[in-house]
Amino acid sequence: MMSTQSASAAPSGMLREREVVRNTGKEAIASFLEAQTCYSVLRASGKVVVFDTRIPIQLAFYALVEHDMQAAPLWDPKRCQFVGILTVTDFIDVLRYYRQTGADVVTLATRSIADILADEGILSTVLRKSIPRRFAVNSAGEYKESDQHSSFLAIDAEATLDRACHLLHDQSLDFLPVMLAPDMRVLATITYTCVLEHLVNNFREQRRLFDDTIYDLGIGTYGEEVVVAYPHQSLHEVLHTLHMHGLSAVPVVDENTKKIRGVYSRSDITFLTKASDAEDAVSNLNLTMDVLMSQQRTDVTTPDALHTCSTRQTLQSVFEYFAQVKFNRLIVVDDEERVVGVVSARDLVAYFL
Amino acid sequence: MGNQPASGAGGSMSSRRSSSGYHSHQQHGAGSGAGQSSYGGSKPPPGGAAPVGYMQTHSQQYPGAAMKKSSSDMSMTDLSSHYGADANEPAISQLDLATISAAEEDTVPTVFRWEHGGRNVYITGTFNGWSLALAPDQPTVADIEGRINNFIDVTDFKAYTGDKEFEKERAAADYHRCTKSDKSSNGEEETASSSGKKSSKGSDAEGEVYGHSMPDLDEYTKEPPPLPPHLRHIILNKPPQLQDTAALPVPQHVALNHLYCTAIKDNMMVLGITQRYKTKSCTTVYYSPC
Repeated sequence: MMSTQSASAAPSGMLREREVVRNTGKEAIASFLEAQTCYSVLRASGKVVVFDTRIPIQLAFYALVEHDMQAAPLWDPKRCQFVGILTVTDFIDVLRYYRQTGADVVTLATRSIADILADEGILSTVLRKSIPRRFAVNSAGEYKESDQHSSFLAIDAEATLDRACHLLHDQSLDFLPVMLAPDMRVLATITYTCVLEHLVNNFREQRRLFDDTIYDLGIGTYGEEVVVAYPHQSLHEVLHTLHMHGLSAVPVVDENTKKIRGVYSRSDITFLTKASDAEDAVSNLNLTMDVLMSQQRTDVTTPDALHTCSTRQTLQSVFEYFAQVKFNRLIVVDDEERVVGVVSARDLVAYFL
Repeated sequence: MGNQPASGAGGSMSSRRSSSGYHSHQQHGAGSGAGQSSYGGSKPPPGGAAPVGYMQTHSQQYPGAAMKKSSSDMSMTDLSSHYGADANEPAISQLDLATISAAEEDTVPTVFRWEHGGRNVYITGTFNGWSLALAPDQPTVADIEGRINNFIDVTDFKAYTGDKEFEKERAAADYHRCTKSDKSSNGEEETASSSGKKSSKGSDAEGEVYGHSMPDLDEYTKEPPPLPPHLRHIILNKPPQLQDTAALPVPQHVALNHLYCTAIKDNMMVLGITQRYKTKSCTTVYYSPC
């Protein structure tokens, strides 16, 4: 498809010069991330929802919806420590498990978070992320085996952003709790989008270091590797695909024209909020993408909404676009609105690591 | 004073002292009325048990003392009443000696060493009711390093064995003190009444703390104090921002570290607290079962 014509056509001296500029840009951002602490990413006034592991998972999920939060740390009152993070997608995965195994959904209402997280069957089939994590990070930023926080991966508020990004990347996390270890307090959970937002709002650079296109820089996923969904596919199918590929969202394309129709995110909970009870929610997993796309909220623009760009867009312009509309990912389309790639916030941050 | 039968008086006094657990040095140093009157008048009785000892002496042997004589010598009142009541003197000394030996068995030599200068050093504790016990008129001895040490006998010091025992003993002591002050109200014995006043005051003070009187109904049914108006602005109740749902309005500093809770619903309690870290604040919402 799109080849690196522009780069290969350029003279070798020009190429080297471009390489220098790229590296300077990378270093500038890397040193920015090195200089900033996780504390600087925190909101002036933020909210953290924490769940006791004894509460029913269903109520916890509705609480997340009520707060419109993506993730909540879990607190084990017996061990007096945080033991993990519950996300909206975890609950969807549990529902998928119930649909797959045909278990009685009515029992779900009585099951506590601790009960679900201890269920090997659920953990091994639908919860890709291993909930008990073995490493904690101390304020110095070194990995160390710790008995106290053996199952909770968090980062100290005073650790550098660079360290937080590496942790997100190396452990393939979506959410990283920022912790005040002596107080046993979680101050916030940060995501790649948070880091990127802080970057575009606070990073100042006079030189033009980011004039290469994202395609040339190799940021994002392109071509054959891009996973797409079709409008006729059921939600269950799509969620399974996302799970297998470890993706957070998928572009939905028209089967015939290959044009972009929308994007479906794993954390989209519209189908759940429309459900009257757990049984209804499980049966909603059979809805097709087409129906779900029509149900998506249009009153607010979430970071998961569809945002597109072209392969010709420079990194600079992508940053500027992100500053305008916070997005979790951009769908890269060609002139015919056909999907050629996906650039996630994660890809954008990972480029500088 | 000198008129008292020297051997009998000195013996019984010192032994009584010892058994009632006061300072052992008075076994040797006393016999002089001046020392005793200064003890009885200016210094409070050393601890709960000592007044009981006095009182027992009086209440049991009061009739005898009244019959025999009303002592004009204040300082020797205790002694004379004691002495006069018991006709059989050798029996007393035997008894008292037994008490002494028993008391000495219980005695644990304890060295208090003060090495930080100063002019007056006091020792206080449960053995003297936490009143200032002036150490200087205790016998002193210089140790091998030339430091002056005082000796204090706390024979009647009762180790704290738990609230029940302790309360029982104290109640008994209070009861005796009260009866003593009642009996001495006729003014027969000056020493008794003066010490009785003191102890009855003490029991009054204690009575205020541990009373049996029911509090007024209004005391516990009245409305709680009104919520300060600035605490009505709960940032968790403010409409959320659509763009960033985890963001809250910046709280007023007075709202920090206050616990908020919702009514229990679905057997679940929701608590909220806003805390500050450096210049930023973080509100934690905790969902727990109840």
